[in-house]
Amino acid sequence: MDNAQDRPVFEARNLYKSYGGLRATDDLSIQLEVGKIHALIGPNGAGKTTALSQLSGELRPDGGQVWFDGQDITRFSMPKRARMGVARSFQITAIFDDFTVAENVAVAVQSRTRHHFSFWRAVTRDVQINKRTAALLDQVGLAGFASRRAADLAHGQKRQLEIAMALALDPKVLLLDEPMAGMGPTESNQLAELLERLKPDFAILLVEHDMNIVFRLADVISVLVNGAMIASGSVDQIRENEDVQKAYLAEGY
Amino acid sequence: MLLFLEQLLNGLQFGVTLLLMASGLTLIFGIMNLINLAHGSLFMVGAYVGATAIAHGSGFFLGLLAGVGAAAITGMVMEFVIMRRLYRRDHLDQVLATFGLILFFNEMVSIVWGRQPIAMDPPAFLSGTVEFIPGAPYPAFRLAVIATGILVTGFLYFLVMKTRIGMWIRAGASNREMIGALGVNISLLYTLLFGFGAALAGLAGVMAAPFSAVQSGMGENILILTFVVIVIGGIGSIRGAVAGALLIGLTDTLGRVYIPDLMRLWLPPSVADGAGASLASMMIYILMAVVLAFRPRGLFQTHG
Amino acid sequence: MVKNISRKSWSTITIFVVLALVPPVAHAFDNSFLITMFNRAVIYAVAAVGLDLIIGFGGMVSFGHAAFFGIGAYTAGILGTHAFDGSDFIFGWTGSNDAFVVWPLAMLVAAFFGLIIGLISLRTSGVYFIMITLAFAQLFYFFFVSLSQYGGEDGLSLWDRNAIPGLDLYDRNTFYYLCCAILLAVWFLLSRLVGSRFGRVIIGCKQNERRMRALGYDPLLYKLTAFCISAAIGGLAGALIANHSEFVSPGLLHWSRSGELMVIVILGGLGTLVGPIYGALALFLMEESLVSFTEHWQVILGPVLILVVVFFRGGIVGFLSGAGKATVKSGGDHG
Repeated sequence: MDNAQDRPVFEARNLYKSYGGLRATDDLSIQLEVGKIHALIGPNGAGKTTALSQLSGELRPDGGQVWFDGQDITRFSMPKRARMGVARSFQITAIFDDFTVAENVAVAVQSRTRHHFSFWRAVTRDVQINKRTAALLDQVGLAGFASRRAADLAHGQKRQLEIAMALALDPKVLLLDEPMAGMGPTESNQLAELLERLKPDFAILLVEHDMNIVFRLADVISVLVNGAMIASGSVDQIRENEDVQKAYLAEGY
Repeated sequence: MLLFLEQLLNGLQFGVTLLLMASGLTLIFGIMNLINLAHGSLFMVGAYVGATAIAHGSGFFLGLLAGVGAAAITGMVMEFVIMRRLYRRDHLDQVLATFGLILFFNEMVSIVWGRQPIAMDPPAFLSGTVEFIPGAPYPAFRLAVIATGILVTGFLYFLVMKTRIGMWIRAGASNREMIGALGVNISLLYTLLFGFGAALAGLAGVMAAPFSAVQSGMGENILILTFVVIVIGGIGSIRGAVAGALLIGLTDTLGRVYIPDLMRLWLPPSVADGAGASLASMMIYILMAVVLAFRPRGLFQTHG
Repeated sequence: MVKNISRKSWSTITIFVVLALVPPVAHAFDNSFLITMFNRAVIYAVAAVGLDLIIGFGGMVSFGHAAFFGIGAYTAGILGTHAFDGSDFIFGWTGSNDAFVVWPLAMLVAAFFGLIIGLISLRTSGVYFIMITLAFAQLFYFFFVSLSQYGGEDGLSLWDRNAIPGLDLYDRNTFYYLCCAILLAVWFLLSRLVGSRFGRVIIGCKQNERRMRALGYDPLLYKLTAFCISAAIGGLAGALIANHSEFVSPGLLHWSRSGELMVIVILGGLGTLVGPIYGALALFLMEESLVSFTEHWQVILGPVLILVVVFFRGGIVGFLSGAGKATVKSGGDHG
């Protein structure tokens, strides 16, 4: 047994996934450590979301392994991984439209508490859940909107709500699929500040398009093109990498 | 062996009837995302109008045409008045509204034709038998039904996969707004398409009429079997509909003949006949459960 | 879902008061048929409230609920037959006539078959689920049609109503109020349930199953549980209808019965639990009044249903709570 603290808390080893003849994920390996933000970038169609889905357990890779906390979780389903502490957010906002903002977070908080087969006690009066929900809403800056219907939130607020729901799982790992998608500069900036505050306590994988945000937040950047990782390194290394520049120039960035 | 061949053909003939129903239903579902319980009512309308016209001396082909036409017109009116308000609704609303249509049609039919079933004879020129398998004369009308079914399905496949109309239809399914922008009148296209599906149901109705009593409620028996066909085959897939229809047609027909015989091998005849008959009537549903247990989205599952 | 709580509880109180007043009013008009008719409606309401749990809250559009209704009814019918003639039912047990044995058993048997049907059909969704539940109900329909030792197509008479010590279930009023009490209990239990942790999970599954999985829930488990609860309530209603008509037949499992139950739910108001009670009363009253006009009353009922679906969303309860169409669009104004 090696020294445990050298090890990343979450690790993908040589993931493969193909659809028909198309390689969607090609020998992808990635390590996430607590206290670091690992950004995954790449042109459109590079397979970022496909990769993230394999990390979160929604897709089963054709080959390779996923490890979490010293355990091989390759065969674990998405719900099981979520319960263990691997939380994800979605590229396209996925919240419960008919629930209030508080209810959205509460149903996520409840997931940590187990007792789902309680049929009698009113969940709205559950002090334990309500306290934690309020704290989370406060943390992401939605405290004033608790009783608003989720569908009626502004776009940026919905994205914040998604983060709150992921945090409610008390995860060690956060897999964030373009959390800034569709946000204006102010909103992006707020969310970036939030991620900076969260950073010390989580291992974060950030799939993101906005290069300014990536360069500002990331400790490590990996570049995905056609499902394969063409480069991985610090911000400065990636900035100067010729392959990366080529891949992005070809895409017109 | 000869009996087996004959039953095989009977199963095929039943399968073809189911196929005509299933292709219309699955087309309408696949393209308009509409579940239409009243598809069975169109089958019934076809059977009633066809049988009545023939009974009044229209001759078979005119009667067939009347039945198919009546179903098509009923279908188009149905689409124009009600269905187009339901395309964007959820399936629950569609089920309920078309359930209302079933009540209406079943009652309407018994107002017009009374509660007694009416009968229809196969046309004289097809009333004989054909001995195309030596030693096993087979009713010509049943053969004609099989042939018609195969031809119509082939035509349908050609229409959807190879023609410009088919392209519009498939494009309309994936992107309603875009195809509308190309200057194709989607509303009209849908009405016609619905009428086409209805015509297929009407055709199935006229062709099935000589084998079964034409009566109020006849559409729902076949509708539910059609659902089983679609569920087994996979929604929205013509290939799936073909496979499902044949599977159900054969299973049902052969099951009714052979399951009681098989049961006699283990059980005393009196018990075997009863148990066999009941097992046979449940057979297709059991088959469905088994298929779904292994392939929840049917044999020919389409994506999404 | 949390909107108009006070108005909704008013509509609940009102309907139960109305139900309670039926026998005295019927006696005043010397029309005991009224009690029989309302009793039927109350029993159908029990099943429909159970159905609302899975359709309205769980988003599972079951088109085969008559199967559970019929299974419950046949449980009562078959056990009653053996209890009556003293013949063997199974393992030397000669059935039972005791409501405290028969009714829970009817629920248990229905829940068991709900488990099997649910396991297969809940792996699908949408239109598939609708068609599959319908087909399964048909399977049970044909099963009972061919069950010749229990009457087959002709059905089975229940020679004695089930017995509860201290109550005379043959007394019209007693049986009626008992059914009302059961309806109240079912309504109350389910109202608690949809507000509980479990309830929130199934409502979440209805809205966004994928999100629920990302939050660590296995939707199938919760949906299956809800489906079985709903099946059990259907079974209980079946046992009651067997006692009410003292007769069971495959007709109870006919597909149109499943449609009727769905109509009751929608007509009254989907996802309200009290709505189906209104729905049942409305449907049966409509039927009775139409029948007095014409034997072809369905020719009117059909179009009425279509109009309700197309123009009258939210059902009776949605209308009563003054929301109607508007609830769908702007539910957040109370925030």
